[in-house]
Amino acid sequence: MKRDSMKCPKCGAEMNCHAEKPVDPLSAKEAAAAAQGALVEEIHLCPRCGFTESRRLIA
Amino acid sequence: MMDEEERLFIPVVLGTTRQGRMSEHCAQVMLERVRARQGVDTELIDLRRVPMRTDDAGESIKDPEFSGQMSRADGLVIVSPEYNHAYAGLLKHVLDTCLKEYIHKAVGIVGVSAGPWGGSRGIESLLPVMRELGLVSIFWDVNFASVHKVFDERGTLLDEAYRKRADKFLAELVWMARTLRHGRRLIPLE
Repeated sequence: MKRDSMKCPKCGAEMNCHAEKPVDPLSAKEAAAAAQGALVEEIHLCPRCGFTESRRLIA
Repeated sequence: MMDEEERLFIPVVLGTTRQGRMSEHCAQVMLERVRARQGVDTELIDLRRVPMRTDDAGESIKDPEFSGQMSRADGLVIVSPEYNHAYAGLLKHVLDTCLKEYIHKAVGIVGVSAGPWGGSRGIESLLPVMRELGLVSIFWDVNFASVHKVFDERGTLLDEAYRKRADKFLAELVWMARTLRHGRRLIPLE
């Protein structure tokens, strides 16, 4: 699966997406997505400085 | 620097705030054993010192210092006494304030109980929580059973076997922490 890359907000390096964690919904829109098994939080780690960032996605 | 040469950070979380807690002595033993290892930094995270509101829950009440410690950590040692066959409620309350900070990091659980089972029922109840938080649990536990007999009144460990068990537990935890750090940095999700 092709993912949008993420730049490290601390140092600008390309981050490594190492996980897609299913998460609980925080809104009705997310709840509808979660019902279809499509609500995840992507976890990214910067290999240069070690910073962790995440983003919620309705896939 | 090679992954293998870089120091790990594995803090010890003391998972109860109860007065007279014997788990504090257990946490000190674990802290001593982590400090004895080459290439590993650690510190004690005492739940009594983590500010936490009880009028809300989850990531909306994230404490910046605790979040920073979890972000920095490569693995966790959680010292969890067993209360009424489960872990302490405040431990869950604090753990629930983070998520991305834990993902693909190693965790080992140290059970503590006044009775003969060494907190094993509390550990069993905590394992599915670890999984849901994205932590990777190891297959070693340390069980401080009949904990009032394990330490004297000054908190001195009376049974050397616990140090050996702790070292076995930590060998596995360090391996898992190092392996997962390599994966977080360099192995992309397909």
